[in-house]
Amino acid sequence: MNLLVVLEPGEASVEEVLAPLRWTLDRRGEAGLGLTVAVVGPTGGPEAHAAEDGARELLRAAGRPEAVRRLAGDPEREVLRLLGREGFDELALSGGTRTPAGKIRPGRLAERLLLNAPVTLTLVR
Amino acid sequence: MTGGRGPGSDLPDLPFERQDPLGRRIEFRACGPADRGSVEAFYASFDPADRAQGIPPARPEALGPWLDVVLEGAGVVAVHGDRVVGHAALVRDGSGGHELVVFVLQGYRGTGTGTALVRALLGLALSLGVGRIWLTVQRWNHPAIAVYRKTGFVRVGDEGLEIVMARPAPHADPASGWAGAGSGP
Repeated sequence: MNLLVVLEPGEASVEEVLAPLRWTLDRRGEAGLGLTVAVVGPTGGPEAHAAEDGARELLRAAGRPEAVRRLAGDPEREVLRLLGREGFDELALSGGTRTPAGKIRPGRLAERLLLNAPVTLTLVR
Repeated sequence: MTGGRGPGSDLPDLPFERQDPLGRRIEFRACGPADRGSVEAFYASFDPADRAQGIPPARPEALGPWLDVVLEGAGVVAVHGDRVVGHAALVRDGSGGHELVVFVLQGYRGTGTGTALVRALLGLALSLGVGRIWLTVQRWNHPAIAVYRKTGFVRVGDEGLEIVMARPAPHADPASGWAGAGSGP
């Protein structure tokens, strides 16, 4: 099994951005699971750096290879290309955010990948 | 304030009573600290299928902290007998606006109670000088969308599985000057 964890740095805190990876490491610790992290969105910003550093640290602490990629450009296109190119069979990403009153707001990337990704998808919330 | 002429003057003053199409007399009044217990019981009675967009929270231990947030600002309850059958509230969004949430008990839906709750809350918001109000709703929740349209909300911003709707401050005329009130949340 090769699982791609997609992280979307942005307005959310680093902790929230890293949540899909934390969830995956907690629940999907099985031996033989190939785990790769893709950080999407504009590169070079402090949020992107913090997400990449945080992901490496979590992978290291879990005793896994620090496989962290940076995907510049349109997140949906780049994730779909990577899925097709490298034979991932599973995807995990944030399901979105919450409004001030606590309503779930599905992320746009989550919605698009739900429709278009050819693999099993886990939306972490 | 709401008795005079001008925009917003059609919004009701609280409290008021309304008879629903089934002949039940429903009282609408501002929600205060003393209502917390009955509002909590109202939300605790929700069937999982009655929840929307993840609220009210399904886990009992999450209900209290959620109520702390939702009961902090202005709110209105619909009461039948001594039981809360509907609740609408405004939650500060941290950018000068408020998010509106409204819930009606299953057996009281489709009776005008939701519309009356929203109108009552807008009247309260008017008296408190609240500005821009917005909400999100599932794209397929047509009854709720109809309530929001009737009460002056229009679709704004980008849309996916949920729709974002907003309305100008209750004192503003919905027919004019609305472009300056901002876009998505």
